[in-house]
Amino acid sequence: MPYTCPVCGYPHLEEQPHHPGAGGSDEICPSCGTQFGYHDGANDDLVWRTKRHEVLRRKWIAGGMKWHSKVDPVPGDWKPETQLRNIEP
Amino acid sequence: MPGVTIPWSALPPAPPPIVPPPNIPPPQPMLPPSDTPGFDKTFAPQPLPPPVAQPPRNPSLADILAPWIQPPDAEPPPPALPPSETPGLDKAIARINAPTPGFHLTPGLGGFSQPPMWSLPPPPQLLPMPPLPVPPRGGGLGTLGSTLSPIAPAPSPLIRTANGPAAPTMPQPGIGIPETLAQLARRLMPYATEMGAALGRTLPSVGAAGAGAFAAAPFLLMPSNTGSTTIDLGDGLRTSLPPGQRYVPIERRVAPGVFGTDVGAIWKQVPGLYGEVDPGRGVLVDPEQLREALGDEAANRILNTPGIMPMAKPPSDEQLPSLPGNNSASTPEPDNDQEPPKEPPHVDVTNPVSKGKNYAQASKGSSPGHRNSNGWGRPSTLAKHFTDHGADFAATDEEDYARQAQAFRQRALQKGLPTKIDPNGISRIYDPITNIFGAYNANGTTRTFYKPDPALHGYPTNMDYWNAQPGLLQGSP
Repeated sequence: MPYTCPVCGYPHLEEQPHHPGAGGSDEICPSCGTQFGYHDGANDDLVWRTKRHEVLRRKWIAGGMKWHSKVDPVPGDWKPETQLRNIEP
Repeated sequence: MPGVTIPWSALPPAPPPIVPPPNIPPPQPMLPPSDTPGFDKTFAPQPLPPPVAQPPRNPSLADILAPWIQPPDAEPPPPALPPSETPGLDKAIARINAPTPGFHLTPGLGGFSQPPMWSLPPPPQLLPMPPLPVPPRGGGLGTLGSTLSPIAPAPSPLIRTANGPAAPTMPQPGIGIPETLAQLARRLMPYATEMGAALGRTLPSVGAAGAGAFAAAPFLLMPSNTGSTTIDLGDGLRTSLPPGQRYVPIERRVAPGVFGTDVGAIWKQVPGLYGEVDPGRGVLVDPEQLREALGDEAANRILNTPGIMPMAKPPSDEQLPSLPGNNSASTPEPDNDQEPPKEPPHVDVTNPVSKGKNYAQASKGSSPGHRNSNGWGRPSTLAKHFTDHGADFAATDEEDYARQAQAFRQRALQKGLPTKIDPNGISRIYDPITNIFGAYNANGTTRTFYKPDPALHGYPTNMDYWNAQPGLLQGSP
């Protein structure tokens, strides 16, 4: 079951970004580069993490919404502005 | 005042306007000009552009993104900065705060600007943690004599709540008078019985002997803050039995606890000395290792302890875990792309039968794995982590990066680096000296490996980031 990146809305994460009580998945979002558990906090403080996601999202947008991964190729139909609609503003 | 009306004519006349004398210079800007023109320009008041009538147009990219890039509502303003001695930093800050071309959403905002680093939302648990006494593996009895109260209400360490790890034994207020050893013993007795029963449910080997018999054995069964059960081997030695783990380290008491007891004592792992949990029998130890580490007399005493038996064949180096919670090579399986568990195992705390069983099964389920050549847990992710973090370690290639990650884990064992283990058995290790962080699956394979950076994780310091990591800190002095 794919999961959605809470930062950029990329809809094909392989793992749930965070496990309650057990930290982040350490998966790196190929779209925005967020490593869950590193860039977005380590514990279960949802309020802080939500704000952190907003900060990371603004950074990614300000940086031009570039595809992060140099390992995973950019999907042919990838549209970052459309992808953002996968998350609640 | 209600009912009283003061006519305007009764008010005193307005004071005359204050006219500055000619020798007072006109008001100056509050900030003196610095050496960084860009910085001053950033903070200088910007005149608003006159409104220009624009023809109607289709929604632009900025219109689409507007809901996601609105500035935060309550971000605190950046604090006043003293005159900086680092012009380069000033320029960097000015660059961060500079309006970003292409994101002029609202004319009055002057464009979208990146929030300065100091305006990030404050992370949780920012209070600096003092060097607390390390929680003893005995669990809950750690602090000094005046805080012995957690014994009674502490839940079984084999019971996990649905929301998280085994309930940690937190000091609780209520008893302010030091208890005597007799009182302590009386409080421990029912707990030891409970632990015996729980262990009996968890380990079939012990269960065969019966929970009651186990509780009556000359072991001191104590709750542990690591979710494991501790067995006193005598002679200042003990071992812990984390659920689902086969090889267990043996520890030596290096500092006595309160009144010479194990309460609050400090324990260190005896290098190279392990016990093996043998379902159906008890804990097996290698007599040769034991004699080599402790001498003949102490080794013989331990070998005569009920439930402790000599092991026929000592484990090889590959089989031995390097950290508590690791039994990677004990149950090798062909799958080398082990998926970590998706969710912490659920334990029905209302069902006593399921308490230890589910936790043990869950731990066992997350433990087996195959140690591939470089020790990386999911090979498909290695390239991504190497790309992002390989430069932290000057790694030449993915293999080199993965090898360094495993070497760090081995060093953590030898040096006793701070280690946390979460309910899924994931170990997180941090070396504050070298600022290296590694996360490892329950089977010892690597999840990630990097040098934390406050600019990336958002906590004020790397130690704050480490303190926020989930899991229980493993006992180390």
